[in-house]
Amino acid sequence: MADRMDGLTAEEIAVFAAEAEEQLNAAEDMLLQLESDGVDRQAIERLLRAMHTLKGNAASIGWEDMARLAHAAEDAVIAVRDARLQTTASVMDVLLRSVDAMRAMAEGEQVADAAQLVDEIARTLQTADAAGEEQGGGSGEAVLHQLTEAVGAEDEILQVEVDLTDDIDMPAVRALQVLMCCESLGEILASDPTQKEVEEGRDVGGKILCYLRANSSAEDEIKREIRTNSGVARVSIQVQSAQRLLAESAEALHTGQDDDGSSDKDGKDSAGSRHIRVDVTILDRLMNLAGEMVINRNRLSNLADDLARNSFADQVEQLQQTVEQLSRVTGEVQQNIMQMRLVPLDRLFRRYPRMMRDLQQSQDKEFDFEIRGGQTEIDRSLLEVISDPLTHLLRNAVDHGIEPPEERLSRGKKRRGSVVLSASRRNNHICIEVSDDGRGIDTDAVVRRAVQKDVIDAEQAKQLNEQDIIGLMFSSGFSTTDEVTEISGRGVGLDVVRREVESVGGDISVDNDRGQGACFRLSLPLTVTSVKSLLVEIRGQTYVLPLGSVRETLVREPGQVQKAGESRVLQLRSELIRLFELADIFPSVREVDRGGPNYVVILEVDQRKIGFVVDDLIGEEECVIKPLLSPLDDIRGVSSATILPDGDVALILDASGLAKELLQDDGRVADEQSAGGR
Amino acid sequence: MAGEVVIFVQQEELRRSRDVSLVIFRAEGDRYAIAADSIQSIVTVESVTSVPGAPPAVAGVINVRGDVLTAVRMRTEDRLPVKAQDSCYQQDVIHMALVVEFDDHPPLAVLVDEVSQVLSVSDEFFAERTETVDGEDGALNLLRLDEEVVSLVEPGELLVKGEEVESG
Repeated sequence: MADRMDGLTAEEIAVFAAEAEEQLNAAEDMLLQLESDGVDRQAIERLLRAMHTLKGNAASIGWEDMARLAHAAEDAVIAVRDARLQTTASVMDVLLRSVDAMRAMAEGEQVADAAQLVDEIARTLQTADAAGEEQGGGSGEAVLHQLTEAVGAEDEILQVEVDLTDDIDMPAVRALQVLMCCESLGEILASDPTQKEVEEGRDVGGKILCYLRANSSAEDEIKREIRTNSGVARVSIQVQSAQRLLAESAEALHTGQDDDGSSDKDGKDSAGSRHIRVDVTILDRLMNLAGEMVINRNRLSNLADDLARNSFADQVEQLQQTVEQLSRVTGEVQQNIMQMRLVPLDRLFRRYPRMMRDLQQSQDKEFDFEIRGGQTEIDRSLLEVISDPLTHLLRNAVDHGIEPPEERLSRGKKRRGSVVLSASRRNNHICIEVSDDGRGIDTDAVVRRAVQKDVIDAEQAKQLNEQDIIGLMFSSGFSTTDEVTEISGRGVGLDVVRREVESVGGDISVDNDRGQGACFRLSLPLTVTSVKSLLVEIRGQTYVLPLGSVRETLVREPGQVQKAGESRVLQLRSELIRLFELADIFPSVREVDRGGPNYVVILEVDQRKIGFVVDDLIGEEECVIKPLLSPLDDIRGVSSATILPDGDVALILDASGLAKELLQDDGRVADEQSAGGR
Repeated sequence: MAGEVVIFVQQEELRRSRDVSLVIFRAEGDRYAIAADSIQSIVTVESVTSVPGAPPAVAGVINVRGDVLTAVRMRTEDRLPVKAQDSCYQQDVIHMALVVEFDDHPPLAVLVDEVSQVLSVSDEFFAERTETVDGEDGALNLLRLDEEVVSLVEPGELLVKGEEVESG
């Protein structure tokens, strides 16, 4: 990889990689579309543009392997366009694998089989050509092929060559006049330079070549017309048959369709891309707001000077006004920035049709995959977080949910199954569902498995309700298939899915209709930049609890707390609530009995309540979330951090995640408590 | 080595360049050095927030211009008692941190008592004055400096230190 980077900065590589990713995404989408909907002119043109751009860009930075592969793929697509190659599964497969290989290259990986893919494509084309009637090869001939298709084999075409006089002023203008003149005389089938090239101000040289299907065949008349343009030194016209044209070398020929080497306007960024496109109006608003902030800051500093000089009442009032304005502006700035961070879920969802196609091919399953609500917007940092969990859930749906066709038929279901990925916005949450019409979750098997894996004992197993059982699937080390399949394996379980979703303040729940299907529902916050929180003090340090799972707070009276086995419970109205403290999870945080009253924060998790004991309640605040970096990014119970108004750092606790673990750890207490709660 | 001054320096750096700048600092009683070009900044630390469950070498997290950075301390072998790990870690002693950069890892803040000087030294200087001895943590590269002996640490060692799990 190092040698490829010679002469390029990391930024240039990054720009290239981002552009390549965009083109590769488009190419993949179009390939899948071709495969499912058959040959479609627009899709092919888009695909050609993508390959062409990739080829050019890769060559321009010296990535020869990638350029060769893009070139080969382009040839194959041209063959498809010209009906020399069928879009069979194997053809699509080699093209999709080429896209994968180029994507890996763009990401800086060494790809061993690039040359092999180029050979494979070449062989595919040779076989197709040998089988077909037409002779074909390079892209230039394909252009001519198109030309002959347009005119018909017997048609005659005029090959018009125009030389401009030397030292002419504004050759581009003259060339354009000549081409426009040709246009008035007939239909321009192809030209060099093209009208577009001339308009874009490219160096046109002193020669114009134009293939014309003339309205009248009077060559002399045409010659005369062209000569009326100033700057024309010589005009020659030859009558060509389409057949002869085919035999001509096409090197110098460019058609208007082959002009595009630049980026595609409607291409989309990849999921988790570092670059976003921002609505100019939002930027304008932000600019204004930033201006207001500066004004208010200046007012504040003037006021501070005034205050220092004299006293007071007037200044205090002004100060309050300014602070009020500043907080309004700050709020708006925050809102606008949050808005800028929103991206449509399609950026992520677009990955999945390909994955589902590959799954379908590699398994004996037949199903339709549908995406709904891809336009729903979500904070861009969340895209990265939910990418793996969604992959896992979709694979699960295919692997464990959808039955083989025969089994479906024998159960009276439609032969083809259905997997739906849908997204919608509900109040302040984004809801993403992965549902299938397969087997559903076999709760008996889950219980057997949990007992076998020592997640619970046989006694506990008897007391579980359906939601408890489904909860078991999310405990660590639980998996219902023994063999780790290529499909949903990779050593990642639903417990990881849950942890990742919860790490961003989200939640996961399951609707199970045994025999009829299952629906996994992720509920995610709109944004992860800030979170409404309750600040508490524990052992002299401030901690942050996201308000989402806080139900109420109360003073702990000594008489309310009872011992129940190892744990303590609190009687709250008619409910018994299990209590826990930070020291239960981290022995290093020593428990001290301060004698005075401390407080209990009641958290609600999975419709169960649990009490978290804290030393003091500080208050509510909107906390800006700051990530914890390695090696602290994977500490149980601590999701992230925030900076307090005094500049100190406070940890944001994943209290609900901890509570969930505790509730699962002692199923018995949890059961008593939940029984009390119903 | 009681009473001696110990400085750690990045070995690679020493092999590569003729002149090396070293930042000399003191932490928890001992003195160390680190290649200056691995230091992103030197910041004052108002307070360190402890992180329950963090590896032993991690003192906690600090606010460095709005970013939350992991703060590590140089000595882990004789861990401070649990009491001192709570809330603000010995605020009266720790008042500075070196923010150390890495190629493929987020920066770490090394808690120090003071930064005494930045030295520019040459190859010969090292050839003459460095030696390797076996210390408790494996081989230490020591440097004699103004009658004092110092050990040299590669920044990479800080990463290993930061990620070590509790050995018991």
